[in-house]
Amino acid sequence: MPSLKEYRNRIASVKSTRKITSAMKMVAASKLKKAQDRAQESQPYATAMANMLTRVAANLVVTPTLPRLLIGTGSEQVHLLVVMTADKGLAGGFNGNLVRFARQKIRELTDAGKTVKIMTVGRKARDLLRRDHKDKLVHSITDVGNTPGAKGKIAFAEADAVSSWLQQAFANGEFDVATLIYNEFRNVLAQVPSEQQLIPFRLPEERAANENALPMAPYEFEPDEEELLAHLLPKNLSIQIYRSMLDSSAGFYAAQMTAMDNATRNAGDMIKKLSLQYNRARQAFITKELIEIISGAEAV
Amino acid sequence: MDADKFQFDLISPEEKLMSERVGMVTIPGEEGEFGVVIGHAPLLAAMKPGVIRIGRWLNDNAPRRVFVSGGFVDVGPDHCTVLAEEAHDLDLVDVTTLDAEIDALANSMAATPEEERRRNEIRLTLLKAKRSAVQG
Repeated sequence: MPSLKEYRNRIASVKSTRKITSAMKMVAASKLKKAQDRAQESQPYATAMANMLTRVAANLVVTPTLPRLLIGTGSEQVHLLVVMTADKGLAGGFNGNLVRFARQKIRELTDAGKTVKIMTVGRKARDLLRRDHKDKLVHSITDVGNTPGAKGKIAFAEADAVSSWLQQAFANGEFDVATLIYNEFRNVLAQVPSEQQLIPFRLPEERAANENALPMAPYEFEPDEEELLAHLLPKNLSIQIYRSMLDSSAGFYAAQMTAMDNATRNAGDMIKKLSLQYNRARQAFITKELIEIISGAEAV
Repeated sequence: MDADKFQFDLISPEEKLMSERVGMVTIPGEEGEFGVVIGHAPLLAAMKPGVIRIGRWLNDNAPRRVFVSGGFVDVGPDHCTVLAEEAHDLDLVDVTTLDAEIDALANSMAATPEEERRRNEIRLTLLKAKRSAVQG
């Protein structure tokens, strides 16, 4: 049986752990609020961009001269998966679930005879995937939203950098299809690993419904549709990546908050259990001493 | 007066920068500058780096001048939505800081690796355009 001192030490250590986890929970909660606000603020731009694309596309005749970002390379052999996680852990299954989802996707694609390449955003994705898919890893980016002085704010330029790397690689013919795998932020309790095809860009399917929603005189385009599209698509790629970065960061803090809340509660339970054992041991010790004293006195 | 106004929004990916009723807007379109007043025909246009002038009413002779690094604009009879990655109110731009920024970038040019240099060159051109916009 552990001595009383050992019990006291263990209780003290669990208590200090609880202090840390509850502080981390608080910090994550406040960061979550900020991240959610930021995700909200990026909404108008994304919506306006999507509207523009829909309008241009509605007036578009499909020809082989269209930007390849839209129509693709005509092949589907080489897939690039952009796997996006956080840099840090201590957020429950946030990173693990996503990487598991990505691994499954990789297996599906390789089983179908496709070539898979991986680009990672976030330190965890890189570290976890490097173990078993090192040969497929072509590029990785870390420290998103960690630029000095930015205070954790994810700048659009960071998404733009990812996007231009993708475009460069695509232009060099390094892949045919790019798919983004990230944690979609549903609500504070649910972050769902999701995939989104980036290249070739999939136009919103409910095009007809959208046209009904926007009854207007025919649009004029300046420059013409094709050229405008060539301008819009790269920006749209950046904004999609930017939105998923924001989603992922909000999801990370939500997951961390939940995980730390659980950890705090578990620590509380453990302290209760340990205190009970400690008190029991203490009483047993006192009783034992009393018996010794009494039986000693009787013997005299 | 208000009947002559239309909704003007200036949106960056990071936030909504402006949203108000205005009288007239001049846009630096890719194929030339154009003005927007109420009742404009629907138009989607790309913008080049330049200055958007936002007049509170028609023929406002002291319009707000906002520098944009390029982007897109969606014009309709009762709205004008500008999507720009970067937008700065020219009245708030400090010329000395801008000059310092240009100098710093120009000086670091030689030391930057190939990949980054291309991006820096674009950035430099932008800053210079902004500089001339402030003065003119």
